[in-house]
Amino acid sequence: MKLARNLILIGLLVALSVWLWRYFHPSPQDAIRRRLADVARTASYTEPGGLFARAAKAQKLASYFAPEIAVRIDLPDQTRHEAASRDEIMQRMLALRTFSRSFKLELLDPNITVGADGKSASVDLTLRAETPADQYQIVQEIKCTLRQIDGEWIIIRVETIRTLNRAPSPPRRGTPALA
Amino acid sequence: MQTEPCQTRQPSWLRTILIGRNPRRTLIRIVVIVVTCFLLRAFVVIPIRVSGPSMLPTYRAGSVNFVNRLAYLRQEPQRGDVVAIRLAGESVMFMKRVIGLPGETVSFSRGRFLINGRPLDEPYVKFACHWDFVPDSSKLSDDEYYVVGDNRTMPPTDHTQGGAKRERIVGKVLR
Repeated sequence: MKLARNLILIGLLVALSVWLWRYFHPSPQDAIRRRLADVARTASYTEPGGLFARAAKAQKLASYFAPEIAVRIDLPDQTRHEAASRDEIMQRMLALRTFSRSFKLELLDPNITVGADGKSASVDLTLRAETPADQYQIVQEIKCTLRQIDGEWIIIRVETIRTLNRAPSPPRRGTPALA
Repeated sequence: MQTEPCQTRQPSWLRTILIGRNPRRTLIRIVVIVVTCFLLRAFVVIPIRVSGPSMLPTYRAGSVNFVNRLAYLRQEPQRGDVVAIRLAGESVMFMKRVIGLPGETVSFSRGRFLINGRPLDEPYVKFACHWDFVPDSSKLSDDEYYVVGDNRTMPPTDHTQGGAKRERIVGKVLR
């Protein structure tokens, strides 16, 4: 009985140690997953907040991206959203908070491929963005390219993946609402 | 000399309701049910909640349906099947009807879907449709299915549709 109890205790200690080790030394995949969750959490909001809070959030969101970034997303509603710098992302985020009372961003099902050097990665994921107050929702598959700089995974490129091919393509409407 | 009958304590009614008269048997039942649900969810059916109007009137927004993962193990998707198409994963999927099969040339003319130039009879389309377009490179490849919703009242560009690779088709939606 005592032996069994000791074995269970040792097992629990080993599991706790492994969990702590993995928490503080995450694999690239885990680190990227955490980073994407942070991006989604920072971009989402339930109320616009004050001026300083908005600016802080927008600045924090921008810090997840490289200073020179290539964002080009073609959404199902035929709008194209482009951004080439952190500043643009900040401005878009501030504009969004001005126009919409709430916003929810989810980055779902990330399929992560880490490069051979271990310092770059490509992630295919499903982006779901909605403004609950306006009942407006977008679902789009995208590809993010990340690079590890000073130990942090930074997004350097975002582009669209077309889930369905051969869709009719009309003239584009340029209504940049979000990056 | 008197002897009193030995009294056995009856389990309370609350305990009987919660864990049954035989807790071990109840536990086994719970484990079997949980494992069965897990296996069904992982390998057989996926519950989905419909969002958006593109499959009206066949499927309404907010309704709950199931996708049969095993439907296309032994056969390929058929014309008229309603299928679930995955994006990056299965958290969010498109729910569309297969109307064009691999190798076919597809287009819309005066609201009717044409396969190799011939109109397709579509009894499930109940609302008026005025689509008139030829998709980019209208011949479907060998592993591509043309999918579209039943509600074609909106302009074609506002309706998510197009060629879906076979590998993206997760299963058939059950009615």
